Amino acid sequence: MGLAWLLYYLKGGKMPLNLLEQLIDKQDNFEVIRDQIALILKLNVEEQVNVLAPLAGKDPLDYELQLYTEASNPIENWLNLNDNSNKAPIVNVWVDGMNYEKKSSSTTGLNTQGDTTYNIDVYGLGISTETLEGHDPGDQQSALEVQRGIRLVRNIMMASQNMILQLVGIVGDRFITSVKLFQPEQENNQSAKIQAARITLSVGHVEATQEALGEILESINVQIERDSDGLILLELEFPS
Amino acid sequence: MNILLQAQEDTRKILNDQATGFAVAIFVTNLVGFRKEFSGFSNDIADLIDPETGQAANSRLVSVALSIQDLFADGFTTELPRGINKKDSKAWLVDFTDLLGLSTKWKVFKSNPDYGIGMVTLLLERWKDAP
Repeated sequence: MGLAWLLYYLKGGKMPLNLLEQLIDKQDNFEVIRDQIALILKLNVEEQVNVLAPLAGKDPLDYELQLYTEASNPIENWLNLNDNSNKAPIVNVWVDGMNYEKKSSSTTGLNTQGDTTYNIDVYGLGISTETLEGHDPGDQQSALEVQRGIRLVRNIMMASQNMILQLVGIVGDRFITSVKLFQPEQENNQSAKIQAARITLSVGHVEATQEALGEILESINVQIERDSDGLILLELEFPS
Repeated sequence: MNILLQAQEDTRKILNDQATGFAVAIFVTNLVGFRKEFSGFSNDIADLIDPETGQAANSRLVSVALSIQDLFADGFTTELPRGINKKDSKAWLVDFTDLLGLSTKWKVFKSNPDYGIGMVTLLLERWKDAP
């Protein structure tokens, strides 16, 4: 800043703000992790449906999920069903919040460690269906569907391959801390039988911030020599 | 005729007024599979506000309103249509034609009768016939 600015400040002038010098054009790690969770689920579901289920002679539809990220109303399509509507369980991944640890972060806060909580919401749809014996009630079907969705998500996310979500250097650990199923309210008069569950996934990771570019205060040229008697001599030159 | 009996008669007339009122043809299938035509109100609406909490919600409510006297007439049933959750039982089914001319079949999941004026509101959920 220099002497001039110091004198200006002492005279009552305001110090100008030190602004960031680089464009913030990269995702933070919590965003990267969110997208990675969705990608892991998507690719694994595709593998289950397209490869592993047919190989095992199982119905691929039993392994299908509809995947969303940060959707505010992913079940909208189910309120206006038709014969072509996709009725597979719906999964919506969204960021719930972050907790950063001050003690394990760098002094300047440039490198921070913490935990981000992701909510993986699962929805199951049930349609009452006629059977030979009577019928399969839609409310029970929706419960079975949402639990099937939980099974798929939990097994994928807690597989050993996904211990650090395959993000080396970013993620330290991941853990499903809770699964909560929501019972429909008694006064729920909806025509679509939908049940929901929330899987809470905690991910420990680092978060970095751009470093301020240094300002050259002074240039110094240094020449190091060893004298004949072994003494180390430094010759300094101040070009400016 | 006292006022209560008058109200019951008026309700029945209103629910059966397809010519000049809001009533439409509504078909009800009972637990033994017998389907009969009745007359009543149909309602299929997206509900943007939860009436219980006043909070914004996203849902779809489908219901019909029928005359209790009509349902019990001619031996069609000895009990009101209601929600059935047992897998070894058939369900009460309702079908009616919407404004686009499409007929959709629904299952009764909840029954709200008002024996005072003789009307029952049946709340409906999606239904799928056996393939």
